[in-house]
Amino acid sequence: MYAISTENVTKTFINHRALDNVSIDVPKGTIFGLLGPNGAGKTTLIRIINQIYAPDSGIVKIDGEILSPKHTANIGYLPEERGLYKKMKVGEQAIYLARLKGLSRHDALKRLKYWFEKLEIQSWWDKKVEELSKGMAQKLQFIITIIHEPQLLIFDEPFSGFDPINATLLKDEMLELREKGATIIFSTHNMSSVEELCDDVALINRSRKVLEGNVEEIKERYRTHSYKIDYVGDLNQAANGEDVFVINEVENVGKYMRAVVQTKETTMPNDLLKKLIQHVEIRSFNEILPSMNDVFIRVVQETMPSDN
Amino acid sequence: MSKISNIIQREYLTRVRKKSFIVMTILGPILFAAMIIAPAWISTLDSADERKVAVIDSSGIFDYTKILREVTLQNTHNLKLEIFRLNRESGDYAYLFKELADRLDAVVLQRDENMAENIKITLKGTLETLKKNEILSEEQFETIYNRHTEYYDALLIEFESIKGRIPDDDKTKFSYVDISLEQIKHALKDNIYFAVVYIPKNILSTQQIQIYSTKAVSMNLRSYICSNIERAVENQKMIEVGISQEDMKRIKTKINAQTIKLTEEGEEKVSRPEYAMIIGYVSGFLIYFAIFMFGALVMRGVIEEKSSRIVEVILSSVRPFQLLIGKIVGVGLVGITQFVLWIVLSVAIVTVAGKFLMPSSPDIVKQQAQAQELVSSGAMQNVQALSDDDQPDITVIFKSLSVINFPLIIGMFLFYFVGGFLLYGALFAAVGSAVDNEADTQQFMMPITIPLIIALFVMINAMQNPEGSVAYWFSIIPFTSPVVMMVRLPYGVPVIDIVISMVLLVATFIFTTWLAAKIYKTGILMYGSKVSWKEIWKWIKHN
Repeated sequence: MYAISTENVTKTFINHRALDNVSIDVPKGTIFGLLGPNGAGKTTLIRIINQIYAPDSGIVKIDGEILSPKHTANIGYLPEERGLYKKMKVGEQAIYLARLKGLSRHDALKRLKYWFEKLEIQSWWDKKVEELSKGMAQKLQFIITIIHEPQLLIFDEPFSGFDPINATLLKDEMLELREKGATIIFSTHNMSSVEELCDDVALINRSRKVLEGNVEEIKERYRTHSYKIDYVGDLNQAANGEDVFVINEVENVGKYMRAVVQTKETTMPNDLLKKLIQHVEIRSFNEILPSMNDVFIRVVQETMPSDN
Repeated sequence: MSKISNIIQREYLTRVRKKSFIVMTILGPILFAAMIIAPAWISTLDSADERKVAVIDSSGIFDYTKILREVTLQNTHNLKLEIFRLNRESGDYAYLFKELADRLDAVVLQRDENMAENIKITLKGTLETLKKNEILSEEQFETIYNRHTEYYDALLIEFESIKGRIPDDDKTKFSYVDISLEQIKHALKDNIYFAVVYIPKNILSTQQIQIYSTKAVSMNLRSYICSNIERAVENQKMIEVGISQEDMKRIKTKINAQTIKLTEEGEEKVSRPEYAMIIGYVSGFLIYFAIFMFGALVMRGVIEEKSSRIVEVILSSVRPFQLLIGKIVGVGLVGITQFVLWIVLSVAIVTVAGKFLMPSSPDIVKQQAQAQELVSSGAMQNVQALSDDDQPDITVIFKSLSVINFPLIIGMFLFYFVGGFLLYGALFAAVGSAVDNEADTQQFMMPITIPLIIALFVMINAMQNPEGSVAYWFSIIPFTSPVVMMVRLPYGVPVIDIVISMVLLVATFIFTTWLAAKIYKTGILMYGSKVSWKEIWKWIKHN
């Protein structure tokens, strides 16, 4: 069973199609990255999951149930454009938003107290939001997102606009929340955070899902069969003849040489290694897996022309 | 449902606790009360202390006491001679005659309207004492008493015809002096008199008087003096053309119309259209004003949520429609709260201030009694005419107010305020959702403001002609009915009209809310681009 699964979700706005038959499955208890260039439809999908928009067709299931208004209490949402009532006091506002998520005043107060203490911001309680700095407001927004202890958390571009301290804090909290069993969906452009945090990703480009899966599997899928080899000896000898691999680059790193080589798709690392040890002395041998950044750029470019 | 009530609570509490709300709530009734009290207060402003006003009547037509005094002085001369003679003869009782002479002098100098009467009483009192002590014989008493009282009686009757006098009011005392203008100027400088009224000899032709004063003379005091002198001059002129006071009394006509309303049951009810008009105007205008004011509050609330971007967080918890309804209802309750507070505070302020600034009712009763006295003594029929104008019979007011169905009007006021506010509030919210900031609202405000302004114009027309077809149709059309129907109501409206109007209003606010929700749903998350009417139409169609 998936925490969230969308089946053929389509959404059309007046002037354009924002989502075209998008189906994604978010496994429970994972951090799921929703990737894609600007305007791909990520925010629309997130808003559909949050029931801010209704899809034109397709269905969304949460824990196997068809999404309905009662589920808003199970979802915490931190939108990309973040804002609060400027004139309202911090504590009052947090209680109000928590109560809209279905918490009782008593529970809201208890949990807010816990979080305000944890993030050391108790002294802000009676301040007006307009008095807070941007970083302070971000902390408050994070607390408001998670205060009702939702099973599903959705962060839209959470690292944009967060200062490094808050971004680190957010990452730590995300990992902790996953430990506690929550499922987290976040959309981002920041590929390093994807590698750091995500178990699974989906890539949306031009309203369509173009890639989905486990991060490690995707990297595997998009591997270029390149290897980094540190060695002593003459590699050209090995390369010549049977056409097992080609040398892409070579450099001298002091006592030994370092080369990047590429094999055919059918060649197994062991075959390469067998070939190599006949000619040179191997000091280290590593397969070069693509970064998510590489995968992202490649997939987006590949899917560009297909959309028309 | 609990979510909506949470929203309503927030919308209500944040507004009610705002400084601007508290200031408005307090300031509103103060301004309102000031509008009512200020004129009354200003009129009493310059008479904080008792003022003395001197009157110099060179013409003699106004100050009858002048003539009275002259005649009296002449006559008391004879009387005095007689008294002196008695004085000499009576030895031990001489002081009594001296006292009588002095008292007569004092009375003559006082020169008030009871002068002749007072002389008579003084004379009679002293003479009777003398008679009791057998100083005066019966014969002597009769001679002295009769000779002089007869004269005063005759004098009284004669002066009936030229009696004009500025009566003293609460704070101003008028006294009649025979000093020259030069002397008066000194008196003014020494603050003996607040003002001096100079009536020239040729007042009948010039119709000009002068009021001298070191301080500003209030409008009230000036018109008070003028109207009194006008009447005296009028009386004088009437005498010249041979119209007697009696004739004049008969000629003077004032028509009082009693409007009687025939109810459907055939009952006859006394009505006063002016009260219906005032009640209609005030309640209609209040609804117009409230729709604008609280509609704008809704709009600003929507813009605030949109521009601060909090709306997306809220919409992840509640439906757009819930947020919209919560906001409209919350602000509506703020409106009702403000109105109730305004009404309560206004009534309280007017009542309290009235106690301090206006003459209390016993005073009025006293004044009326005084006026009655003067009238019965034949002294001041003009004053009576004046008070007739100002003071309609209290019972008539109550009678005609009882014709107006207050529970109906208050109930209808609340209904039309709520209905009108819901109708327009939803549209205001839609406008707020379509724009990014308040400056952009202008282009969408037109369709909202135009029907409201039309309603205001029709309302003024309907005040003149509440049964006309314009008033009828605009009190049925839901966009103007909240304002226009309020004007018609106090005059009495057929039940069928009210029902049609109410049903249409309810149907229309359901429609506008539905329409607004469509615009709101799309608009609230639409940023950046300036929206056109065409686009809004697409939003409505698309949803």
